[in-house]
Formats: sequence, structure tokens, C-alpha cells
Amino acid sequence: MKSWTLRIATIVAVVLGGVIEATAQTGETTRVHRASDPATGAEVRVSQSPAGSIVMEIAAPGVTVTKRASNGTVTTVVRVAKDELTIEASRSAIIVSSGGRKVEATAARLERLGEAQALIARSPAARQAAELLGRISFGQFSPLTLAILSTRNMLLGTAEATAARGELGARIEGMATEPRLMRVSAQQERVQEDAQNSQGTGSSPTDCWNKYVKEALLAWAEYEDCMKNSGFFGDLACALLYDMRAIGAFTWWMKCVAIS
Amino acid sequence: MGALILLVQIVVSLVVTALSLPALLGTVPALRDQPAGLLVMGVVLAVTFVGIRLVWPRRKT
Repeated sequence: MKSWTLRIATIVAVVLGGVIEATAQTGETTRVHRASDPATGAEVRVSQSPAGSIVMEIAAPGVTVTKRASNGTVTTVVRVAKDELTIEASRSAIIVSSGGRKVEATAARLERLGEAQALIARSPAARQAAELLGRISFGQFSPLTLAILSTRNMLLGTAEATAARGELGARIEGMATEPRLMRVSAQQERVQEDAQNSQGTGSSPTDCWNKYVKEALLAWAEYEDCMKNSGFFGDLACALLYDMRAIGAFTWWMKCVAIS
Repeated sequence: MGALILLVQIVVSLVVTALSLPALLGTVPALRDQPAGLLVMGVVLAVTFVGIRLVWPRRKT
């Protein structure tokens, strides 16, 4: 019995160690920016691959929008549950895929552009993603806001898109004509968040979970980044920092849901 | 003594869960939703606790 339990424990330890080691080593892209929107719980990550492609991922509960720009092609993928919408735009063509249908509009077949737009408008994933992107805000002067608004504009139907285009244009004009110094929204959000966290109570279990996930993901991302450029002792320091942050986050979550 | 050992086993299980959960959430985005995440948290906690109970050295009578 004892030898079996020892074997099982060894196998579990080796598998867990392998999984953690493998996941820490696989990240080839460099994370450029990461921000969270408290209003929606969405997290925006911007990363760059060694080949030069830039990926912006907006992840909220139930909705994921990924935008990849590489080699003159911008690919937007929207996932809502099992529904997926893909829009691939390049200089020569726009290809829209949704629900098993694929429409390709090129300069030679320009009449298919309306069909492609109709396919986007019919997609439930596009509708939900546009609704989410409309609620996300990182402040008027954040580059993320412009990227999010332009993505939303692309996902909206014809009539709404015209109105959204106006809104986007007004924002860009505002940015150009009103340069001024101001405290960035990220700091303001952080202050509000810290105030809520210090209070501890008053949050629903869902709020507690969302905040815990946010902190856990930051801890994991920090660990991955730390492991990329460190030697043996650096690895130990990375692991120690990760342990402290992960245990701290878990303890906070237990306190938040009043288990402790 | 038995109660103390049980308490230590529970604490160790919680620590293991706390350390493995960020890695799981970071690698499997589907677990970031509350129901799936809590389910996995419970499973990790239970499996770890059972594992620790099994490998915990026992005094021979």
C-alpha cells in the first residue's frame, strides 16, 4: 500500500511539475500592455511576437475578442460560447466567416461587401461583442479606447456603425485639438479598486471571484515574465514572489467570501 | 494530536490549491468563469487533500 501511494504521489508531482514548467516555457510573445476594466470585468492584453505581429485580446466572462495584425492583414476573431465570427481584412480582400458561411469580398467582387456586412450584422457573437466593447472604457485619451471603438464599429450593423463612426471621429478630433496634461484613467481606476479592496466587505461572491481571477492572472503573468530572464537564483526569487502573491490572493478571496 | 494533523493537512491542501490555481487560470481561459473556476478549485482541493491523507506518514501500532 505504501509503495503504491508513494508511486502515485511521485507521478502526480512529476506531472504537475512538468505542466507548470511547460506552461512557463511556452510563452514566446512579449506582453506589451495589460489593463482591466472594472465596469465589465474585461481584461485587455496586448502582446507582440518576435515576427512583429501584434495581438490585442479582450477577454470578458463569456466573450473573447482577439485582434491580430501581421503582414498587412488584420484578423478579428469574436467568440461567444460556441458561436465564432472571423473577419480577415487585408489590402486585397475582406473575408468574413460565421456559422459555417464564408463571404469573400475583393476589388473584383465588390458587390459581396454588402453580403459580408450582412453576415456580420446577423452574427449573435458580433452583437454581444459590440455591446461589451461599447461598455468598456479606459478613458478618452487611451489608445486602447480608440482600438476598441474601431473594433466595435466594425462589428456593428450598418445604421449603428454610421453613428459609431461619428463618435469615433469626434474622439480623434478631440484628442488632436485638446492636448492637455491629465491624470490617466488607469491610476484613477486603481485608486477606486484599492479603496474597494481595503473595505473588503460589500462585494458579492461574483465580484470577489472576478477580483481574485484578475489578481491570480497578474501573478501568473508576472511569474512567466520573471522566468524568461533569470538564472537559477532568479528562478527561486520568481517562484517565491509567485508563491507569496498566489497565497495572498487566495487568502484575500477566502476573506472576501467570508469563508475564513 | 489527530485534530492537529487534520488541520495541517487542510492548510497544506489550501496552499497547494492557492499555488496551482493561478497557473490553471492562466493556461485555461475557460476556467475564469466563476462556476467552472470554483468547480476546479474544489476538485483541486479535494484531490490534494485525499493525496495528502494517503501519503501522510502513519505511526505503526
